[in-house]
Amino acid sequence: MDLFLSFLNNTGYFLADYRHLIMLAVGMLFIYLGTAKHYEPLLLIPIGFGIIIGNIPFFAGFGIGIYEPNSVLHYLYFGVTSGLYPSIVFLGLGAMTDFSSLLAYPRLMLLGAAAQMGIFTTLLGALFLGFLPKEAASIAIIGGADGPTSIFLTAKLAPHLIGPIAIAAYSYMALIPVIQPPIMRLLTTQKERRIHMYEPRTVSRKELLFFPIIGVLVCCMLAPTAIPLLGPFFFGNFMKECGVVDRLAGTARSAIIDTATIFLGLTVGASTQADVFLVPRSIGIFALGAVAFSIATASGVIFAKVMNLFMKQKINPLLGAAGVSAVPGSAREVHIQGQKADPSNYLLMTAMACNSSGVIGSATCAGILWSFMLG
Amino acid sequence: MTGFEAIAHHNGWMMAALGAVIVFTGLAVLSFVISQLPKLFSFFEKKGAGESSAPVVEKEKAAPEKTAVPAPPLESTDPKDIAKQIEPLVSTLQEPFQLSDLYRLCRENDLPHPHLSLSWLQREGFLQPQGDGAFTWKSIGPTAQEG
Repeated sequence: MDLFLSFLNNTGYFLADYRHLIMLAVGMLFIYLGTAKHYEPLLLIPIGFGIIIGNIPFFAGFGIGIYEPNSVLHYLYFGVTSGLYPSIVFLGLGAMTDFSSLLAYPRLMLLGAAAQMGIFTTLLGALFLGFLPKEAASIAIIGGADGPTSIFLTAKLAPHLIGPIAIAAYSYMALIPVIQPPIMRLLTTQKERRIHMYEPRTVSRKELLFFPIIGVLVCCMLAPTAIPLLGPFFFGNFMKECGVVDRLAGTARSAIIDTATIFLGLTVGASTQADVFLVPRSIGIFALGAVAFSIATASGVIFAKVMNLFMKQKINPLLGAAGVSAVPGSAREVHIQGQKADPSNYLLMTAMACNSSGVIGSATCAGILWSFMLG
Repeated sequence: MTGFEAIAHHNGWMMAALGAVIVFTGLAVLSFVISQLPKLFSFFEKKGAGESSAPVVEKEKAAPEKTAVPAPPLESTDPKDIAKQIEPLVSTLQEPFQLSDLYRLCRENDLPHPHLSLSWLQREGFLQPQGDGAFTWKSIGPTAQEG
């Protein structure tokens, strides 16, 4: 009987309190959103399941939990805390990205820069609320709407905040169809949303081949701390474009990125243990994340309107919202909004150009912020 | 410490302003460099052609990059004619396919105005959305001439 009672005392049912239940509900919500609503399922399903795994209560000291040395989850979590998984994800992203639209419309790269203003505005907001500079920089990067970049920078600057920041970043990426459209509509007129983009010029293979080399030199020379992200990103893209290592490029954009995404999502989810996640500052992080993402969207749209003041060939200001690096969610949303205004308006390819420049922009911002914190 | 005092104490204003300027400068430089690439390449090609007087440019033109299915250029604005031109390209893709893949094929085969063409085809129902950016092709079927 004693043995049975002792066993019962060790079960999750006995150890669970309201915080565990809240987090289990959050995990199930993520799984529901990913499965039933198709909101970023590749991210929300691993994260949601990870949240459930990480919040099943257990006796500390058994080597089970993600924060306990020698546990399996702890070893897997090393890929997050060391910045390994984000680098691998960037390698795969590079091998997937087609830069031909960006090369055809080089000026749209400025929208990718403008949308990063959300990061720096939120940096000020986080400092204002009393976060330390390294924490503020980690929170601010949520404005880039790039999960791997947020995780990478937070792992380097404020590892204790990885859970809430990663969840906030991925949640806002999944909520693009909810967050971005009202901002886009608020800042643009129906006439502006109807603007058709001019036909792109033909991009030669040489340009596609040279771009990753030029990109890595320009961006990584500027912010060498962005090398762990942008180095693999441009390398992956070069593999894709050079045409002589198709097998490697194919593996990078399929098996490798999928493996990294599974472990990244699962361990980030598992890192949200109720006792470290359900704290007041997590609410602050979520609020600042929403502000960061909204400002990023607005900055891109406003900057596109400013560009139109000086350009003969007007650009559709909706494209500014795709300057955040949530690929391809924000590009898809821009396209949808453009088509709602005019069904013959086809913005997807141009929006992808802004999106890919947003990826470069947010990774560069992460490098810049990391450099600032080193000083 | 909180408020503006905290921002000033941690050098926040400077970090935000400098960070914004650096990222803008970096991407502006990259944007400028890539906008100049075609001119740079054409300059070197002309120079190379001038030096060797060999038909380097012609050779490049003669060897088209990645051609999946040869397709004649589009002349008509009738969506059915456009669909006829694009259907062979679609047949090389596995359904459902991403619109971006079809767009790339159109570009590779030098079909003019691929944006506009795909937009028409979508509106006319030849491209049927399956959600998540995936599409299937609704065949135009055999015409009277083709039997």
